[in-house]
Amino acid sequence: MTGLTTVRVLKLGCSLLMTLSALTLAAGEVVVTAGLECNAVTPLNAKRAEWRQYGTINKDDSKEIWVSCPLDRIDASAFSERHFSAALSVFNIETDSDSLAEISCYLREILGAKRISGTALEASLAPGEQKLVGACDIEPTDPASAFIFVCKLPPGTGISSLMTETHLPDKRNSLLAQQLENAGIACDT
Amino acid sequence: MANKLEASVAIAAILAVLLCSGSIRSEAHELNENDAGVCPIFGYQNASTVPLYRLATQEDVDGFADVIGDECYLLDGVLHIGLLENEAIEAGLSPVTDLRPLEQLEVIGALQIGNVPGLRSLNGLHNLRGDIQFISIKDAPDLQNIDALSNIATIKELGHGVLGVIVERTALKSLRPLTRAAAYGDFWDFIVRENPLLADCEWPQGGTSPQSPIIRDNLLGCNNVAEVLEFAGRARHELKVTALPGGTVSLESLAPGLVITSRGLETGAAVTDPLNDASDDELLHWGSIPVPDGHYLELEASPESGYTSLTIESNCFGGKQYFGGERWVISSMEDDCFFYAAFQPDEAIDIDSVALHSSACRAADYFSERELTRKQGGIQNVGNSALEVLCPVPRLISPNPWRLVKKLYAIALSRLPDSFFNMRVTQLSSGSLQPSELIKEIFLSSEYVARAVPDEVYISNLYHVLLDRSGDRQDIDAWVNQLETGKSRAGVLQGFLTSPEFLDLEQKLLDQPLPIQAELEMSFVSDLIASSAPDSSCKLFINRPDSIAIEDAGTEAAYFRVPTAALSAEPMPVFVEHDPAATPLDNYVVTCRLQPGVILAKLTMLEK
Repeated sequence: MTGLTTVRVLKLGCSLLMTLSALTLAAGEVVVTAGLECNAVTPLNAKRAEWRQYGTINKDDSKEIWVSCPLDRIDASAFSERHFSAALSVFNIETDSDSLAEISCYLREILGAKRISGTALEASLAPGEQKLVGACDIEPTDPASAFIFVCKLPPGTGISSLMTETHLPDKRNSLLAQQLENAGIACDT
Repeated sequence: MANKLEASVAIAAILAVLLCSGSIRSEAHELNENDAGVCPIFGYQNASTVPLYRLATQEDVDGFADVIGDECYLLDGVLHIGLLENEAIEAGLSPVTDLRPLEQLEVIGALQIGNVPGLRSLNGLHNLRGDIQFISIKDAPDLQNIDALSNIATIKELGHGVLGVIVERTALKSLRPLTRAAAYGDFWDFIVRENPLLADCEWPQGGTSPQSPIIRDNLLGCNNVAEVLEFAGRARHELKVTALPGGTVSLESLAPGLVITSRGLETGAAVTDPLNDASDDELLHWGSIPVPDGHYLELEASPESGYTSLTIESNCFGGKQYFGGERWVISSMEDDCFFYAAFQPDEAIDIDSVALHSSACRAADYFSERELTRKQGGIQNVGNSALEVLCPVPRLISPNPWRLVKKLYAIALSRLPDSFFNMRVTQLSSGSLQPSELIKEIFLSSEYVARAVPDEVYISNLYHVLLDRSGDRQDIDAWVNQLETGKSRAGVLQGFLTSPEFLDLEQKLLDQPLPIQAELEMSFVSDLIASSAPDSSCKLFINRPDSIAIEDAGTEAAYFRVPTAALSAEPMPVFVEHDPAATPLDNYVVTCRLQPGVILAKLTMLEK
């Protein structure tokens, strides 16, 4: 995978409330964790952030913050080819305004403190809305690389959960990819 | 209609009996008894001038308005609901289970509820407001919430006898909203005991403090164990017994005359007279036992099937360990002390687990973070007061084909899967390879045979891989005996593969992909001698992302205390039952209120 690929945004809803039984049986291993794991990138950003049970949120009235979210990458096998998919749910807690909040995220693959690939993701959130943003069926450049999400959060927005999946090659073997496609969103690599 | 009439007759008869048996109230009533809003008085508590309104049965409750009048809302006396102790219900009548016929009541002097099996809530008393003198709820084993009392504002002297709150032997998990009520008085009771599910230890904060609170014998740990009482002229010392899940603690013997008051610690267990010997069941899980000076105790930690005991920890003076640390004999009690028993699963081979160093935890904001240090041993509250920390709890969800192949390799071959992994998973997923075929292939492979594991290990491997559990000792011995008397390993394997238990599980491998249970393990230690400090406590929350606006709190899935007096580096397991409607996207967060000096080392979520 090289360069920036397609932005994929999925509004969460009933389509996500399905169990694995309805999915492809070759779905990979999924790690789900709380958005609480995200870190503000600078102390100044940290002063504007709050960490709550439902995740990391920008509580500043006017300024954006940048956060980085480390992702769990498991079972990266040198013997068997593994692909990687990742998603995060973002939310807009503001209800006073009618305007959309624009969240930008980058999924970055890191090796030896260097970024070796990246994917840009964006989401427009109405007040009180929560959405899933994801990139799927990525072929990691290196079995030993790590992935992070880096996101720019406007005031009142936050990240509630982080999801990663290690799966067999092909998006048909990915739980997250299939969730995206079930919602009618293309999932190109 | 006939039933209602009979009910009215019944309640009138009861009230008439009370009227005859009680003394006539001689003092002038401070209220205007001619006011239609003031309920008429039918009787008084024995030897008092306190009006008593007693509703012993559901029929009494149903007929309340017929007797009392449907306009009155102010009941200046004690409302007693339920049977008296040792009172049997009359044939043809029903226990009180529904209080909705009482919704006309808005003000009462005192509320006394007792012996009401089947009563689940206080719905019907939701219009009660203002002041009340005492609330007593006893022996309501099905009572799960008291939300109806949310408008009670204060507990204060109104001239109706005792003052305070008593909650005993209920199914309540919390005393909310009663905790919002403020109590006033020079001496008021606060007695909360033997509530096996009480997990929210919030007590009333407003008003004056109770003179002598008694908070004990609540299974999940909301206990005031600092209580030292006097018995037979001698001070009694407290022994705090803590047994984590996976086993029980039993008393091997008791000195004559030893008083046990930790009764009723297990729901449904027989309750013994607190002045007599206790049963072993009474020492399950949490409890506190006052032990008189000069007596002794023998305590034994007994693991359940599938668990082993870890060495007991205790600071009891003179305690001696026997049998590898699973049994303690305490010959004297010179001070309050603790006894802490933990258990660990046998041969824990959980491949669906994610361990997280606690440095990923954080305080709620930038400023609270300054009280938190991150060391290699874990996060520590270095401030002077309790600190709230939040920790993400990663979950690993493995689909069954993936999980089966990894488990087979890990258990049978003690290694990671090889390059055939993708092919196996694809074959299993498509149905071209059955789980039983793959299991046979691995267990009959030359690689497994070359390992030459003993018969007992072979049987244990089969239990873990095929039945997903440890085998009972006697079952394992029976299989081993078959091998020793000539049966082949292939024959035993075939026996497992054709067993109803495996056939059921094999089907579930395809039908039930999401885990239904998990175990959260957390490790706490302290570098301070802080045995007298309050316990730390944690709550586990589940968050489910969906399209609706996010709320301030997720659903609370578990609550547990971390006893300061018994901090140990051993993992403290908390069992988590996933919501049946769980989705692959549910995530967990644990929040802990760490006392000063306490270190949270790590946390691990193991999917079952």
